Amino acid sequence: MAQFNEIIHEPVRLRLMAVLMNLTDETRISFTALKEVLEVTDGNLGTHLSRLEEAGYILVEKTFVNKKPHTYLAVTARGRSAFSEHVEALQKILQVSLPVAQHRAARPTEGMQGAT
Amino acid sequence: MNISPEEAQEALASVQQVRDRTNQTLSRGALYEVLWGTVWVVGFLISQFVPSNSGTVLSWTWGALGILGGIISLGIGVAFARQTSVPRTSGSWFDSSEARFGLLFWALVIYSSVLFAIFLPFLLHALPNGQAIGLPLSLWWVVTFSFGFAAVGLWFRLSQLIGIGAVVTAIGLLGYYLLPGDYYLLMALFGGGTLVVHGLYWLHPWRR
Repeated sequence: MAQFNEIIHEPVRLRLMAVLMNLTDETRISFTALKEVLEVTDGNLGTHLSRLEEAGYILVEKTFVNKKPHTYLAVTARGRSAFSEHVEALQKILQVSLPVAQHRAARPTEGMQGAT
Repeated sequence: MNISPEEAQEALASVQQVRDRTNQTLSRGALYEVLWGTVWVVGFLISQFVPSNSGTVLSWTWGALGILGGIISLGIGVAFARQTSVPRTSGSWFDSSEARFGLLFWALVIYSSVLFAIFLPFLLHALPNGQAIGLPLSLWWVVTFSFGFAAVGLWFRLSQLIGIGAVVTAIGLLGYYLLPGDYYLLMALFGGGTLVVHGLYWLHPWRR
């Protein structure tokens, strides 16, 4: 059953995971490029990345290039699974709400009936 | 945690928007690569096979190709701008990566033109035969644009673009110093060809 994920559902983390899900398995995205796509600050992004890393949803690779630190990110298999389930859960919420909305539109409200 | 259908829809919409933006950012760069790679293939093939005393013809040819490439590039940029609506926290167009990417290449062309104008008298003095200036002039621009690719690759941490810049520069230098008679053909096939092939490669996975 599709599981709603409170960790992923935070708006920035949701978009962050969506970006990482778009990459192929062998591709990593740099911290800078991710920040550009998401349009957030360094600190903000760092906080969300830490949370997702703690949950085991992303892989954070720190390397040195010419003695300068660089950070690269990718989604883990667990993260892919959790994100897919979360999206499925969101879609199910919409599917469940649609018949209810259609049902309400077909019937007048009790308040209106009482007024007439 | 209970969320409303409206919140669920908003969340799904933001996911789709990020996916679209990521796809479009990557595929748009690839479109420019295919475009300018094609310009190079056509221009260099013409340069290879026209008579050697056709400096004026080649100048007009490259000028026309450059203008055509510029118009199509602008069209690509405008078409993408109309199709997407990406919320920007700063509200400034200049803050977007795409804008800075385009402006970088414009700055490169301008600064390179200024440098070339400064060095042109010395070049003409060293090469009194006007027909011979075609090769160094061509290599000047090849290296300039290759630097542009490498710079964008460094900026966005895209090692493939850095590699493209290095490969195209190497091909230019190889042709210029070792195979001057076939320089234009080499640049058409392996310079422009590299850009086209790499651009098509990048476009392919995102069509899924």
